[in-house]
Parts: sequence; structure tokens; C-alpha cells
Amino acid sequence: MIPGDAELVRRCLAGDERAYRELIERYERQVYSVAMRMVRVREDAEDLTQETFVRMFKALDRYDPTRPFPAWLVTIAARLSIDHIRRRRVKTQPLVRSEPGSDEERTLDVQDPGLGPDELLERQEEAESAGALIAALPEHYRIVVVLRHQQGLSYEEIAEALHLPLGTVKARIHRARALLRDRLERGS
Amino acid sequence: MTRCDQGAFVQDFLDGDLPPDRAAAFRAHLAVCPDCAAAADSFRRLIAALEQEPLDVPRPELTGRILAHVLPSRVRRRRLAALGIGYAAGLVVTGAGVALWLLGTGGGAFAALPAWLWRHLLRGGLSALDALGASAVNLAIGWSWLEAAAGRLAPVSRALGLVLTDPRVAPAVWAAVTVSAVLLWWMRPRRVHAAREVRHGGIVRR
Repeated sequence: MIPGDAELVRRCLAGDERAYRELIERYERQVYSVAMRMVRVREDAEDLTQETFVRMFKALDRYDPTRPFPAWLVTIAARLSIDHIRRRRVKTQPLVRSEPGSDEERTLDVQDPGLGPDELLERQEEAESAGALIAALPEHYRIVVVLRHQQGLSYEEIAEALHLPLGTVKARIHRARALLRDRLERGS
Repeated sequence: MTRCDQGAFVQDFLDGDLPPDRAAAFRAHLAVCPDCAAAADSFRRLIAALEQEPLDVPRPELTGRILAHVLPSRVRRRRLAALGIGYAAGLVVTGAGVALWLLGTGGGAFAALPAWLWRHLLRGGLSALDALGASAVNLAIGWSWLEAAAGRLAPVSRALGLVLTDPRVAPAVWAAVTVSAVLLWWMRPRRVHAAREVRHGGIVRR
């Protein structure tokens, strides 16, 4: 019988090293995928995946078993990925402007500095897949789309993970999907 | 966005965020509004495409890399290795410092100190280094682990101590230990001499 997440967590806390391996093998792809979608450089995504698991195991005794484990883990990965992007960015400028007291946001489209020449070439050769479209989104839209549609987090979980008001999360997801739909229709 | 003023609700409807009565009304609206129906269709297709997007696959060695950083036994081993290196480096630096000091004084300092004082100084220095190392190791692995191990091994070590100190048994045990050690030394891996190896049978260019 495959042990549940809560059982694996309990065994990890008891020092069972096989449970560590099982938990990593179970969620490694999910965590890596979040990181890869955000930073788009394999080595950085691997470092972030490793750091996510290191932090998760350090905080394991504080994990609330009533919450879904994958959502908790993905939250750590998302926060680390965003921090990484912020550190990497040389020049910063706000990508979103919102009126005080309103969830309405105006997006400033800027070139994402994440891609190098090789990766750009790779992207150009890629088909217009949903993945490529997600990669072209500004990072604040990309993260909500990845968490919602790839990781299956609820709006509430995303709001908690990103420390954002629920209305902002909804507005961002709606706006991101509208952008994706426009690009998809333009592409076809 | 559609040209219809109801178009703003398409995504809320698809997400199931509209209250039941509004959702029912919007469903009826979709049946009569081609703009909103088309928008709903394209959003449905987009959401399906996003959800079918496969997860990225990391390189296989990533699992091992993560395990090396999280498994308690490996973390402990890495810390101990770091402590060992630090300890060895401390010894080397201290030794080098003492040697330089002796060389700088041309051996005068060494000659000026009586032999008994040197012995005490040496013993004191070694004890201090030992205590330092032991404290570091205890800090790294925790007393509880050592105590638990010692507690489990205590009966065995007591029994062994009794046997090894018995004058009727001790000579036989020590003889067996010596013979085993000699045998192990004799069985050690040795390089086969080149002359005994199979000679090269290929063509040799002269």
C-alpha cells in the first residue's frame, strides 16, 4: 500500500530516511516544474528544487497535516523562485500599477531578462505550445497561472502562498488567461 | 473580452465563482450570445491546454543531490568531515606557528626551557586540542546520540572486559588477535609484478 503524505511526514519526523527519499521522489518533478517555469534555467531550477526540499525538511515539524502537503511544498518553491528572480534582476521597475482600493491592475509589458541568446533561439524554434505561451508571460502572471493550472492550487491557496489579496489573485489569473488567449488566437 | 457587456463574467462563470442564480442566468445568456459563447469556448480550450501541459522533468541525479543535503545521516557526516578538516587545519596552523617561533628564536627558547616543562607544555597543548575536538564533535552530533550508543554497548564492553582480563583466557585471545592480524597483513592486496602479467601479443613497431 502506498503511504499517504501525512504518514510519510510522520516517518520523516521519526528519522526514517526511506521516507525522506519517498517524499522527494514523489514531489521532485512538481517542485522542479514550478521552479523551471519561473526561472527557465535548468541549473537555477535544480538549485531552487534542492533549496525547497532543504527548507521543507527543516520546517517539517511545523507542517499542519490538515493542509494539503503538495500545496505547502509548492508554496515554498514559488516563494523561493520569486525571490530568486528578484535577486537576479539588475534593474527593477514595477510591472503592475493598481489604483488604491481597487483590484484593477494595469500591466506594464517589459522584456523579461531571464532568457539568454541560446534560450531565445531555442524558444523561437519551439512550437506555440501552451508551455511556450506561459513562458512568455510576465513573471507575476506566470506564477499564478502555473500554481492554478499546473499545480492545481485554489485561489485561496495562491493568495496565501504569494501573500496577495484574493481579489488580486483572481484579477491576475483572469488577465493572464486573457493575454494567453489573445496570443494563442494571434498565433493561430 | 467580448463586445457584450456580460463578457466580463465569462471567466467567473467558468471558474464556478458566480452565485447559483447568476450562473444559471449566465448559462442562459450563453445560449443567445454568440460573442460570449465563443469566448467561453476559447477559454475552455485554453484552460484544458494549460492543464494538459506536462511537468518538466529534472535530471536523474537531482534526487541524489537533494538527499545528500537533507538526509540526517549525510548532513551529520558532512558536518563531521568539516569539523575534521577544521581540526586538522588547526593542528597544522598551531604546529607551524610553534615551529616558526622556535626557528625565529634560533632554538634559544627551546634550550632555555627545562625538559620537564616542555613535556608538560606538549601534553597540555595536546589535551587542549583534544578537548576542543571532542567538544566540537559533541556539539555536532549531540550528547544524546553518544549516550544512547554508549548505553547500548555498555553490557557488551563489560562482558568483553571480563573475558579479556581473565588470566586463563587473555593469552589465548591475544594470540588469536595477533595471528589474525598477521594473516590479514599477509592477505593484503598487492600489485602483481609486471613480469608475471600476460605479455603484450600485438605487433610492435620498431
